[in-house]
Amino acid sequence: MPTPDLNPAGLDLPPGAGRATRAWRWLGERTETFRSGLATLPAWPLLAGIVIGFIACSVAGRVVSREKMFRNFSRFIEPIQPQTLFYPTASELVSYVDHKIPRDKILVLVGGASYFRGTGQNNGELWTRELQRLLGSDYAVVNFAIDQAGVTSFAGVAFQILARHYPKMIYVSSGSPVASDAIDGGDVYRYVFWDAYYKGLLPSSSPWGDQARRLAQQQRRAADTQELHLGKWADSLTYSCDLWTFIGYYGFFTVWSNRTVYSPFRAWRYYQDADDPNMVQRQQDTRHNLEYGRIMEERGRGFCSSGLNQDPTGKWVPDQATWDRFAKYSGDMFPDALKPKCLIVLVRGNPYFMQTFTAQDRQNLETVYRLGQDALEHLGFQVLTMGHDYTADDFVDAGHFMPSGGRKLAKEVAVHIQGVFSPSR
Amino acid sequence: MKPHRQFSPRRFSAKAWAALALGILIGVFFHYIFYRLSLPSKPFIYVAF
Repeated sequence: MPTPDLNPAGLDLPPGAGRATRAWRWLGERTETFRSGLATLPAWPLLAGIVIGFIACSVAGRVVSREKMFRNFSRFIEPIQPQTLFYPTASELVSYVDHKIPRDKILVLVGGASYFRGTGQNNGELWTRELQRLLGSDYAVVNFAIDQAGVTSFAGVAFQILARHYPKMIYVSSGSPVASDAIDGGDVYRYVFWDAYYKGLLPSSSPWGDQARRLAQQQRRAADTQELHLGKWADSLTYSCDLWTFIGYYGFFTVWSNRTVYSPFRAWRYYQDADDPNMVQRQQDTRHNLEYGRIMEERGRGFCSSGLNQDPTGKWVPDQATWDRFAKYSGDMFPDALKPKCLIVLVRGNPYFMQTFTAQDRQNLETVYRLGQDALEHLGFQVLTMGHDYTADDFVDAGHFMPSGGRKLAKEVAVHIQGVFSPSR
Repeated sequence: MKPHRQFSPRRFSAKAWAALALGILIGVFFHYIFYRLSLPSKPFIYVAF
């Protein structure tokens, strides 16, 4: 019987060398061969290749930034949100609408937070589908609301850019009667604003443009925002986020996330908006969660006195400094010319979590909403305060709407839009 | 001592193409690194209240 060759590669091995040693020595010799081969490569073609490869990707990024992103899109689901490290760019948001919606339609761009994204509603039950049905074919509704976004965040940036593309447009966003949003959208979503800023997509007219420039200068000096600005400035030249986000959506994703453990490289376009058949059960669970109820009641009672103080007689009166500040920061949210195209919907909470409210609390709450609405309308915004006919069954939790609540919301918003933004105007 | 090799235009051209191809891959990788550097070190955690 022939003796097996224990050293088929002919390596110079010590006597009795094990398999691991042989493998390691083989790898070392191959690496040395590769390195010596690499060292003989001419430098100028290598350098030229680096430059060509980089520039080609930058050009490809600019090209795909104008392509239609998102297939079968109805809203931002978790896999295509920053929660899973998927960061759509300003260009991608805008190009989707440009490709999808004809310019002769009245574009209704929905923004704001998860209340308007439709948390609590399955895809077929979305309030924005109902809104589209109520408004009719002269209007085109696009839902860019995303979790924890404010009026100026994310969709608010797309609004400012699309207002120049669509002669008739309205931006509908959830908002608060006492809290305004930063001009750049705040912590999570400011990347979209500065992406648009450095690409030259945002309005630049004074005074709003001057404020944006001052904020940019200020944030470039701050340690926690400097890197973002450097990155977005570089990205305005390289379009790297556009290219690799596009590849991640259509081809393969390369960023691991703990929410995609079992399919780390799957293209995001394959993720669908899965229905939750247990929404009613979730509604019951939040009602039976005593700790959750206690926190929501406490938060709600605190909200009732936002911007109000008790005078020496015990009467609740507006705190003028708070409302002046609210008016100042709200006025900075958008350029003046865009404010009339912005409908801010002041959302109310679930009455189920207001059971411990006193009559004074409820009266204060109405005062807060009235003062907030007045302040925003004085600035030029369209404002709609949600009605009082929402019941506990219209909410899945303290703030998100069930399908029935979504339908009521759609009706209120549709009536307001048709009254102000009629196709005949 | 390694044997002296005569200069070969065909071998030089092949090495130039190999260098170019490798350079393009490196350039693409650098472009990808720009994208990865833009991502935050920690993902945004959304907490529905």
